[in-house]
Amino acid sequence: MRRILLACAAAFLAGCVAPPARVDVSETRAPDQSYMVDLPTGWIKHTQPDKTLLVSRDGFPLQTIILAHAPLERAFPRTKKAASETMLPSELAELYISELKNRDQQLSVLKVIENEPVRLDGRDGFRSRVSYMTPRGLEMHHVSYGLADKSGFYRIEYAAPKLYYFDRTLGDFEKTVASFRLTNREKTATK
Amino acid sequence: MARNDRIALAAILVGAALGMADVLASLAPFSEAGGARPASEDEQRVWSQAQEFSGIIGKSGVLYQDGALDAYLQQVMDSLFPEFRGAIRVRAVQAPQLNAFALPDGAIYVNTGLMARFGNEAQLATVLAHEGTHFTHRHGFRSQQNLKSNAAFASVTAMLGVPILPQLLAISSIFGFSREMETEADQVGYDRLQKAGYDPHESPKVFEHLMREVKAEGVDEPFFFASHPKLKERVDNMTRFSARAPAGGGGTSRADYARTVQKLRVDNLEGMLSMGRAKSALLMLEDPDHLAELPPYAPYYLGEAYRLRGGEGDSLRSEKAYLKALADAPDFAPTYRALGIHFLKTGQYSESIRHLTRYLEVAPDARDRKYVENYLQIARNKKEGR
Amino acid sequence: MASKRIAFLVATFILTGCATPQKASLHEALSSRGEQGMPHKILLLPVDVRVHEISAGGVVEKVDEWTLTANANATKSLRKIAGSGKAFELKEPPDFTGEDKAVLEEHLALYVHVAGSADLARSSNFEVWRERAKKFDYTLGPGLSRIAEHADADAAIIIVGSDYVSSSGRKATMALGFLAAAFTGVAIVPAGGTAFISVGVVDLKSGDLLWFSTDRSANRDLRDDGQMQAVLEQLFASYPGMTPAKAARGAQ
Repeated sequence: MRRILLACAAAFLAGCVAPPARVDVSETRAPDQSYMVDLPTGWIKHTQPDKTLLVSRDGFPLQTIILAHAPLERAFPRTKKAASETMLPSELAELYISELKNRDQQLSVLKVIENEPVRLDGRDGFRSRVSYMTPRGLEMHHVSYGLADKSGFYRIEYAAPKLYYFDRTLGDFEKTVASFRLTNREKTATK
Repeated sequence: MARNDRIALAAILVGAALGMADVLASLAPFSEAGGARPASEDEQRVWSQAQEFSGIIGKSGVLYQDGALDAYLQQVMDSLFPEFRGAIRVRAVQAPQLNAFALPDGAIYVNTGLMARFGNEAQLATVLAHEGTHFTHRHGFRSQQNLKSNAAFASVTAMLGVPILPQLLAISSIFGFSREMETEADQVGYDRLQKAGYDPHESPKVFEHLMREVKAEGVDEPFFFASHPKLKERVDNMTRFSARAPAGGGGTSRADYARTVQKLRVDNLEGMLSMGRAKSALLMLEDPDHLAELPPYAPYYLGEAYRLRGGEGDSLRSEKAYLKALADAPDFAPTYRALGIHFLKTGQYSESIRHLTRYLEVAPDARDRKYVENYLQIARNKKEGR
Repeated sequence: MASKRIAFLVATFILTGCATPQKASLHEALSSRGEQGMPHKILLLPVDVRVHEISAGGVVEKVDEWTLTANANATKSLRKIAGSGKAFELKEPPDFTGEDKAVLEEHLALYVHVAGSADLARSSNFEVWRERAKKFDYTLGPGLSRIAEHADADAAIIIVGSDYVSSSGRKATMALGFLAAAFTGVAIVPAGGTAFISVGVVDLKSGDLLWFSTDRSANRDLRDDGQMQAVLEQLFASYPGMTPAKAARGAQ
């Protein structure tokens, strides 16, 4: 959460990012044009300089949806690993969780609650749910979907305090995920 | 402000900084638990920060939960610092990084990653003695004060155009203690080690091993000794001290230590692999002595480390390691899954089906059942040419 | 380790820029009811205003004795303000133990996120967030209702803040016209001394943030009881049912 706030602050200071906007029309094209998605209307979206979308209804400390796309070779910068479209979903999930754990100390001891294969826009991907504690002892939950395609590694994440907030807008997030589609229309059959 | 006023003010600030340095240099070490208390308001502040930091560590879920291990750590620490019983408290922190740190109020934290690396209790005691000395000699408070006064010194002299060496200040102030304090911790810690009856010849081995690992992993994060040159200093100091020591001393039993930390080592391996630290894991697992001290299914982790490293020839190495784990520990379910996935990726679909099926039989409540069922279907489809 | 408090301050300072006074916010459910809808029996939870010293070189240290002083000042001031009129009755909290204590602590940890979000939105440079804050429906959820039963109170006042006091060395450095502030990536060292205080009234049954107000100012010293009194009077001047006369009488 600290990283999200600082990223927003840095982006604002850098002056090279569009101001945040309310989501009035649900259908949204990715900043780099690589996907389409229906965002919850009434929420507020920020576009980062690296084209990551951050979306929230009540404020990032209370809930955040993140949509990001990276080239396969730069999918996991902290662990210096690449993704590949031939990877099994469990391998992709493993690398993703490894990357998450390397973000900071709190995340390094995250607990994996769920981790399973899913189909995302007709492609094989994964869904994981992890939990970790903030320094003040607040339990945070973090759901992530990920898939690798020849056009890159895509992740859709949702983070919120478990207490009251997580369940409150989980449904909005899952609708967003269900609407996700790549603009590159080639799909891979189940391997 | 007039030029003379600026010079006078600068002189006052510089004088204060140097004066502070003199005061800090003369700050006596604590002599026993009863006297181990802050001696000034400034020191009390630093202790309060330390207590708050410990509170955060406690709430954050990073402490390694094992009462027996905590008791063991504390017992080793108390044998090194008997007169500080109750004042120095040591806990294990769940983290694969090579780290241990001492807070100014006597709270010492040792990462499970570091503990897993030690070969015996004498090596553990070397690090605990070093860290304990940082507390008894008030290095935490002295460092904090140095940082404040040196930073002030730096900012004033920078303004006035007086050249200083900022990188020296940065290294000493931010990444661990100063060179002088580290050397003091080496010397006093070494004396404690000898007095407690540990074999002092084990002490350089700790740092030699850490140096190898730093080189292998190439990590950037700040850790125990912050930099390669600092590690080299520790090795040199310990080698010099122990050269004079007679042979013999306690705490050298690998078997005893291995039994105590076996669960920690396995947990640490899982943690390392889950963070992608394959090279560090291999440093441990490719050591046959170390591997022999782990449970019979440990070659599974060796297989996983090869798989994650993914270098040339690693696929075959991982298969060999998994098969060894299967032979030595046929009830250990994850090996079947690992082999099932390995054979799937190498196109050996019958073998894949056999092992994945066996996995679900051995672990019917497996949390990753959906992945495995998915892979079974893929293997069947491939086998049938679909 | 980074604290969320610091992260919110970072974002606040950077995203809001200058220190403009903010009006208080009233929960949207109360906007038509005003004074009638406000709670009567309010628990004063332990004040959490942390006072730090910034050294000449930018090192930030929390100072316990100053923190205790600031918290005592806030408690005393609030008792005066509450006692001055009939806007609300301030109740001392019981000694929470066991599950009550755990529930309270967890909700206080959540409060930092809720108050932080509300504050960021209210004082954002971006219109879209300020608009969001106008629909003031921030809440902690109903998990505190057991506290309401056990403490015989309708609501709780939560005061959270930070003050950064420049050391004499730092003031001297600043006087030379050079600011040795460093952005560490964990905490930003504000220019000079800067105080931030937030006051929230939370309904213990619903968890709704009924009333919320903040103050951030340079050159304010929360260790000084007169200055703390002034800040809280100013904040509570807009509390429904609190007239300036009542608030001022509280100061006598």
